[in-house]
This record gives sequence, structure tokens and C-alpha cells, in this order.
Amino acid sequence: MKPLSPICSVTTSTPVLSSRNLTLHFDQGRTKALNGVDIEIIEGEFVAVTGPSGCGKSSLLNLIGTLDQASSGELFFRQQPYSSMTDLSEFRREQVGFVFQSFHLIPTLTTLGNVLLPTVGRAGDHNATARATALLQQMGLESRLDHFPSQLSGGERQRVAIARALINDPTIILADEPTGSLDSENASHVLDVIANMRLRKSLTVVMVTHDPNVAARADREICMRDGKIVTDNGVNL
Amino acid sequence: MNLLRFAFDNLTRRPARTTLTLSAIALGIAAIVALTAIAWGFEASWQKANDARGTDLIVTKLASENTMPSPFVAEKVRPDLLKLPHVQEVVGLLSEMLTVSYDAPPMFVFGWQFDSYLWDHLQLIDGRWPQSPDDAVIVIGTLAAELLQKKTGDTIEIEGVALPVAGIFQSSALVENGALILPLLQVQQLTDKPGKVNVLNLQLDASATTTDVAHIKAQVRATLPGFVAITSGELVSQNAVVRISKAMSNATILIASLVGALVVFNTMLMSISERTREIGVLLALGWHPRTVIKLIISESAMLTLAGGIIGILLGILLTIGLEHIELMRGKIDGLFSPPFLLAVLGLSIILGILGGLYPAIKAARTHPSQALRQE
Amino acid sequence: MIFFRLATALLVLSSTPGQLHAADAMDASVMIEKVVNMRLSNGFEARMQIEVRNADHRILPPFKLAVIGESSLKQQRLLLRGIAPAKLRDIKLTVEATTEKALKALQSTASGTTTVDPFVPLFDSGLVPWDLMAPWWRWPEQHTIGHDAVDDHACTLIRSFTNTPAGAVSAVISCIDTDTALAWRTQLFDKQHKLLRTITVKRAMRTSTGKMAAKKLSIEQPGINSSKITIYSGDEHYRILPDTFRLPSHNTVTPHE
Repeated sequence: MKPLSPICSVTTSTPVLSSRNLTLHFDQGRTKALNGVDIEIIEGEFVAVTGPSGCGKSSLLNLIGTLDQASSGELFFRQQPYSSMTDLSEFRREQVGFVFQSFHLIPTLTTLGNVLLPTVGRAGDHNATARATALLQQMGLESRLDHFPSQLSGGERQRVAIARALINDPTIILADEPTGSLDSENASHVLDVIANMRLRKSLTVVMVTHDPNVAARADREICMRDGKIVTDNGVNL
Repeated sequence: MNLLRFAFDNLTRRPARTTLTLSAIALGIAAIVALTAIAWGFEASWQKANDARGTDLIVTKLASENTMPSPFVAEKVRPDLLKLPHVQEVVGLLSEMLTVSYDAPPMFVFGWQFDSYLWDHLQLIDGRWPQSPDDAVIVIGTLAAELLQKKTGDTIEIEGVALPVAGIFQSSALVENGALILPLLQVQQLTDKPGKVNVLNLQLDASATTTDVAHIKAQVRATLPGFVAITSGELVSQNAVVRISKAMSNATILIASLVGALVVFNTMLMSISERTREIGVLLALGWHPRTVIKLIISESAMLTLAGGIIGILLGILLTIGLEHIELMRGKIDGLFSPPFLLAVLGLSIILGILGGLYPAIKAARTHPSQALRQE
Repeated sequence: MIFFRLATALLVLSSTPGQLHAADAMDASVMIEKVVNMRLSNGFEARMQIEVRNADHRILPPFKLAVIGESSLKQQRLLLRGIAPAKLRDIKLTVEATTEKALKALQSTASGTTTVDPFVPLFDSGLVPWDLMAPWWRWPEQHTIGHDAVDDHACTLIRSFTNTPAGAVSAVISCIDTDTALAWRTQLFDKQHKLLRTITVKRAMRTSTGKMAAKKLSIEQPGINSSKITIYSGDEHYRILPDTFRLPSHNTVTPHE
């Protein structure tokens, strides 16, 4: 597969993520979530992964985020095979930021506490609180620092989740249906925030969505079916 | 973001369960503290009594299962003991546990050799001391006076004989404060044990060393069959009641520890099972499994630390309460040693760590993608 | 403790020991010999507190007694002396049995000394002077009838029987600890095998001489009362003086047997 040039600003053309013949099987091979996926994502790209339910888009996101392990094939982060990584936790903490459809905020923690969660156990990180506060300010949540998730609206919660994903200055943001639980106004706001942050921090964004309007906000749209990529930016593969 | 703060918040978000677990741990720790304080206090009180009297060695008859040493004729042994090196004084004592009032529990009645050093450490609060070996009067400890509701001039019936209370004294040892003391001759007559004692107190000269004490012990064993010379500490530790109370406190430590660890184990296991998805989120956010283990262990250790502190306070209150209830008065003098209380707290935290270890490891092994899918 | 000493003493006094039946003869004789050897005493004293609960569950005020005794090959003597309450203080009772004479009980009070019936319980309790002497050990028939356990203490059952009882008791079943020769339970029956009373040792301890002694006992008289006896003080080596068992004066002497 030939890498496509990103539409928006791109700092480099080096693939930050790539995969070779990636498969993911469940139930001893009876269920094939991914069935030979080859993909290359350039640093700074905003990629939307679309497709019907069960097509394997979330599975692909989980493999990229090292939440699952591939049955076969290989994933590369800046040419380094995932299989050679010794500390996947560190990779997730330093290189990846997750945004989930249902936010997954910790109810007992305040907005600030939730954003700071990925910094727990991070050695030598002394300005985490300042970074978190600044991020929340950029999200327009400066008045919500001490609020608990139950005191926030859906859109606010997702912005907290985005701030949490960004706290350790990751390379990649993996967003799984980030607007799936939001109304259209809040969804649009959240997408603006993602797009804005991506530009500010030169982030690579991989976003899973089933909504064509949401997918349209990305530079590139990969469509999957039955565990395979069927179109890449409209080009049949 | 502080891991300990996060652990604390996790505990406070389920107040009912946390309170129940805390209560169970606190009760276990309270039982350990109270029983141990009572057992040690009992031992210490006896020891204190002997130490305060200035007794270096006690010669008594071997009676391993007896709560009170068997009586023997003092003069059969005393001359031999006086011949031993460093022995300055040999003083007879006869003690009995007798019912002197059906409204009060049985009490220690001591017969002390008149004009001996045994009396020196007592402080007379009211009245007078016995004037001669034949002076058929009683002096009673402050606690005994309170329990029997007697004052100087009243009479107390001992073994069917009514005797006047000549004075009230105070001692540093609870055992003596709760006792009735008479001249030895009087107790021998009252209990029909003429010339008999159950303990001979030896006072050694200042130059006696530990080796000399060991030598005297060996001499007694060799030359006086059936008799043994022991230090007051050894006598007390041989006492059946001391042994039983210590065994009970040890058994309580064991059982309470086991129950405590199981309670913590159960609580933490339930907690992590309810928080599977949350743990999945933490792992997805880049938490190292080690950090997850630290979190769970911190939670369980906090639970047991708080339970331990509450339990220790409760144990102290329980012991003080027991000391004041009518049935136990004069029998309990709880001894709370700071190192022991710290050790109990340490034990409590260790229980937390042990009880939380498996749930913590289980949590750390959570598969993040599966956990995130869980509702 | 006391029961055993007395039992032993009386057995030793007996010139013609009870006949033992074939198969159990050896067992019972060995056991009785052990009891004899364990319980001989040149003098002992035991002080006891007795609490009586009537059939209507009413608890009577407790009383205290001192029991002084000796048991040798020739003579078995006991002195019971009231300690408390005040009304018992002047009461003394002696029970004596020798190889020549039958069991005799005398009681002295402030008003004098009289012969008393040794089968009459003391001070409305279950404590019977006759039981204290345990004369059943010299009865003609002694059988080992099996094994039992009293409060988890394993013991061997020995049945003592007589056709010519002096009083109401004609059979006694004792449950003897084979190791310590302590009777954990003694049941006394009449001619019709009606249970008259049961004496049970509730707590025992080993004394300085190595012997087992009862510390707490109960005496149950079905339908009459139950007595709890606590031995609170004692002397294994009580010095018996020539006048220890002598009562003040003999006003009226009415031979009982």
C-alpha cells in the first residue's frame, strides 16, 4: 500500500505507525477481528477509521494502543516493531493518548485529578499540575478544575478525557467514537478541540467512528469491512 | 496526583463497606490489645509486688499446675537458706485466695512475717500497722477497702473469724492494693497452717551477682529436694493464670490476624472486581501493573492502619472499662507498652499488605481491552 | 481428693477384700490397688465452699467447711469443721472407721457432743458424711462394667455392690481415671437401682506431690438439690495432733450401728 499525503499540515512524511499483515483472532481462530491489515500512518496525520459494527475498527485501535496483542503480523512505531518493546505501559503512557466513547473518567477524582492520572508513577514529572491546568484552560474548563465528573456535562467530560489523553504530550491520539455519546453541538465542539490540539501539538490522530460527518473532519478516511481495509480515502484496495 | 490520595478516595467512595471492614479489623485488634494488656498487666503486677518488696529470690515448693505454691514448714528450710552465701534475710509469706465477703470476689489474704522488710514499701494511708506478731488485726489495700466498703475500725470476717481493720495502705502493685495483709502468725492460725508458709523471700546483699544468684538456685535445688529458688519473674511466668492468660492472648493474636487478613482479602477482592473497568482505564492510560499493585496495597494498608489505630484505642478503652467493672475490679491492671502497640499497628499493616496482595496481583493482571469492554 | 483418700483408706482397712468376678477381676483389683496407693495420707486439710441449689432452683447462702483427715492401713479419720457462716462455727463432726469398729459419726455443737446418723446430709446440702468415707470399696462385689467419659475424661466404670447395706445405698458405680485413679464420677443407687445422688469432679489439678486432687465438684440429688463444692485452700501435709479428732465433750452417746 502506498502512503497517501496528508491534506493538512504534516511535519514529516515518515510513517509513525505501520503494520504488516496484522491479524487478530478470538475463540481459537474461529472469530477473525482483523484479517491481514496493512496500514501506514504518517506523523501528524488525522485518520478516521470507519466501517460497520464488528468490522474490526476498534480492534485495530486496541492493537495500535497495545491494549491487545496481534495474533500474527507486526506493528511498528517509528520503524520499531511492537514485539521488541519491553515496557508496553511506558509506551502507552508516553506515546499514546486514549479518548473513549464513554469518557471513562474516575468518579471520585476531580477534573484536575482525572487529567493527572496518567502522570502517576511517572518519574521526575514535577510540572504535571501546571500542564494539566494549562490544558484545561485551553479546553475552556478553567472554572471546572475542582468539579467531579458527575457535575460536568457530556461535552465537558469528553474534553476532560481529551486533556487527560494529552497530559504526557503523546505522539498519537487514539479516539474510539469520541462523539458517540454526545449531541451534535457538543460533538462538533469536541471535534474542534481534537483538531485544534492536533494542530497545536503536531499530533497524529487515529479516530474510530461510524458517523460519516465526523469522519469528514479527518484528513484521511480508512474504511474497514470484515477485518480488512476496503477503501483508503475512497480508493478501493 | 498522589497515589495515596487516590487510594484514600477509593476507600471513602464506598463508606458502608469500608466502615464494616474497618470495624472487623478494629475489633480484632482491640481484642489483641485488651487481652495482651491484661495478660501482661497481670504478670507485671505480680512482678511489681515482688520487686517493690525488695525480694531477690523466692524459695517455694514445686507446684507446676497449682495457682498457689504449696504450704510448707518454714523452719525446716529457713536455717539452710540463711547459711547460703550472700543471703541476708529469709522472710516467710503465706498467701491464700479467700472469700471474705459474699458481695465481693475472692481476695488475696497475705500473711507477712512481722517486722520484716516486706512491709517497708507499703504506704500507710490511714490507721496503724499491726504492732506485734500476735496483733490480730488486718491492714487492707486501698482497692480492697473500696471493694469491701471497709474503713479503719470496721471488721472483716476471714475464715469465720471477725478481725478489726487497723489501717489502709497503698502499694505500687495492684495485687497488693486489692489484698488484705496480716501478720504471718495470724494467717497461719486462721488457715490452720501453724508454722507454714508458701513462699520464702530471700534478700541478698548488694555484692551478689547474677552468677551468685544462679549458684544459690543450684544449691537450693541440690540440697532441698522438692524446693526451687526462682526470681520473682520466673515465679510469675510459672503461674497457671499468667500462663493461661498469655496463651489466650497469643491465640487471640493468631485468630484475629487470620480473620483480619481474610476480611481485608475479601474486601479488596470485591473492590477490584467492581472496579475492573476502572483498572482497565488506568492500565490503558499507561499505568504500570506495579503502580496498580501499589494502589490496591495502599488501599488495604490504609484500611488496616485505620482499623489498627481505632482497634488500639478501642482495646485501651475496653481494658480500662474492664478494670472498672465490679466483677473485675482489682484483678486487672492493663499494661500498655508503646513498643507492643506499635508492633500491633505494624501487624495490622502487614495484615493489610498480605490481605491485599492477591487482589492487587489479580488487578495488575487485568487485560485492559477486556476490562474496558466490561459494563 | 477427699473421696479418694477415704475410699482408699477404707479399702485398706477391710480384712476381707471384696470378691472380684472372673474376667474383670484383674482389672478391678489393679485399679482399686492403684486407688489405695495413691490416696494414703498422714494428714491433709481441705477447705471448701458449698453452694446449694434446691429443686425449686432457689440458691441457699453458701457455707464453708474445713475437712481434716488421715488414712492409714489401720484407721480412717475425718474431722469436719464449720467455718462460715457464724451458726456453723461451733459445729464439728468426726467420722471414724477402723479395722475393728464400724463407721461412727459424732457431732459437737455448743450444747455438747452427740452421735449422729452418717447418712444425713450436712446442712441441707448433698454432702453426706457416709459418702466421704466411701465404704463401698470394702463391699463384697466389685465389677469392672465398662468404660465411659466424664467431660471428655476417659474412665473405667467399677460397680460396687452389697446385699446388706447399712443405709439406703446398695450399689455404687464409680468412673475411675486409669492413669490418675481419680473418680471423675460416682453414682450411688438404692436397692431398686434408683439413683440417689451423683458426685462429679468438675475440675481437678495435680498437687505438689504429683497426685490429682479435685478442685471443684458437684453433687446432684435428683429432685432434692444440687451442691457445688469448691476447694479453695488445702494442705497436703497437714500435721495431725493427738487431739485433732477429739471433740470437746461427750454428753450423750447413742450408738448408731
